[in-house]
Amino acid sequence: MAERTVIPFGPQHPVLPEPIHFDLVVEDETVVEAIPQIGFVHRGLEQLVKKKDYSTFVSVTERICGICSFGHSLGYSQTIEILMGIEVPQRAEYLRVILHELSRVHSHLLWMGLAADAFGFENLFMQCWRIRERILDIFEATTGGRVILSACNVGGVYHDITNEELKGIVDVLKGMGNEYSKLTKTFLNDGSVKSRLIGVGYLSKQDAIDNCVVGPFARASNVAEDIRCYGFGGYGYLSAFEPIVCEDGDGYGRAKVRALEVLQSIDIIVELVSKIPDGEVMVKVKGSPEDGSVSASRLEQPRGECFYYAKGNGSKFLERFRIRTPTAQNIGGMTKILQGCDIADVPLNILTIDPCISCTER
Amino acid sequence: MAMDPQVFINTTIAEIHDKARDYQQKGWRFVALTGSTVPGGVELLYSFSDFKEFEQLRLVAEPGATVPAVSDIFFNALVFENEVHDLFGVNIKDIAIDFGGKFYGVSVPTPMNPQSPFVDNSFTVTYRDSKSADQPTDGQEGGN
Repeated sequence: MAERTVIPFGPQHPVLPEPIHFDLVVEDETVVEAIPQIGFVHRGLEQLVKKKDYSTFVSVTERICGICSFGHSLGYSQTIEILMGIEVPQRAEYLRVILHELSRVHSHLLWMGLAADAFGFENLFMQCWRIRERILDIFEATTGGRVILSACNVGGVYHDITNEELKGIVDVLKGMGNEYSKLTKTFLNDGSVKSRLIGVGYLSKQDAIDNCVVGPFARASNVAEDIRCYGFGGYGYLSAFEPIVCEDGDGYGRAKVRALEVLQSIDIIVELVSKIPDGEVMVKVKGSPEDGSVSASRLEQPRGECFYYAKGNGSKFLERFRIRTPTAQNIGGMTKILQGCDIADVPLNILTIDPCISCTER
Repeated sequence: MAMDPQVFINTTIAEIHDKARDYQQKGWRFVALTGSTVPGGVELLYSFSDFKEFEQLRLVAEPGATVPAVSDIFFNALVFENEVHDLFGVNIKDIAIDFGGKFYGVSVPTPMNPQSPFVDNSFTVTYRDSKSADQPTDGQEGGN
């Protein structure tokens, strides 16, 4: 047996925009064990519920992450709505899903760009991000923000998006379709991409289940789990929804799932825009969560299932608020795919699960 | 508007490991472990899911109690068990990878449960640069 050496990986690494550390135990060039460590930038945002009332706290949840900012405000709002028994207007539910799916499109395009950059395909990186700009332009035109949208709060959404604007969004998305198809074709068929992703970071279906992984990471290992299937919130108005799964289980499979999910999200937006009813977009919320009331909810973020928990104490301040992010849940699976891989593949393996450390270090 | 089912089941420290095993044998998966301070100690909320089904087990760890880890059953629980130990000071026994309080780089012990009776609070601030020990600058205080 070759001698074992421990190589520290991170917390700073060119492929990681955020800090995470691994102790990689290697034999020759092969990783035999990976021990993760986080907590380098933990912000303790959950504790701010004691200082910000439940209505104001939504602005904190939006700032947990710059990519899933809308998703976190949506997850928080729906958890408080369950806690206080608030019924959200139907139009607001539609608008929330439309904005959330746009966030998914831009998140996946961002990941595709980062992945292309990681394996040295600079032109592909720029093309992905060029298309992503259109989504950010839509955000700016409809909500005024490109990253922090400030569109969602307990009771609905702040501002309506007119039917004409919604049709404009659909036109933009359909216009993107041709370019995106070319981009996907390159991303999934190019030899250099395949050589870096196929067979790299394999996770079997059983390992995915055993490690409770979520999101595209799980679906690429043929685990058909997607919270959107259950029809929670505005997703209940979709005519049909089937999660996109892939049997590959490797980095290429994860790229394929994300690439196809962009098209799925566009289809969801197109369907909801064609069905959206007229009406109010926000109900007036009065009172405070009752003492001892608790609620838990889940939301399918771009990186997978996100868990939210809230506990009231009779005041306008929550007793406890908790977010378990998809990346925190995927750390176990991440260590699994690192075991047995070549040390040169470690950065790309970590990247293929699309880790978001700022979410995890909320 | 359909939403997640709200199922909260009270349990005890003695039962939690067996109940987690039951969920695993039924094919459920581990979703999260949440700690929160309550008058009698720290409340631990274990969340499990089987696709649309979604349940939470709730127990209170009183001061001085030791809670068995479930990360031998659900490996990914180790992240949250280390978190509950580091942020709330709850003693968790036999975590799959026990970081011994070093998982989070906290600058004060158990920041989310400041009066934690679970841990030794004899915390001393150390400085990376011994020369600046008397006059700390730029937040140079070290961790634990």
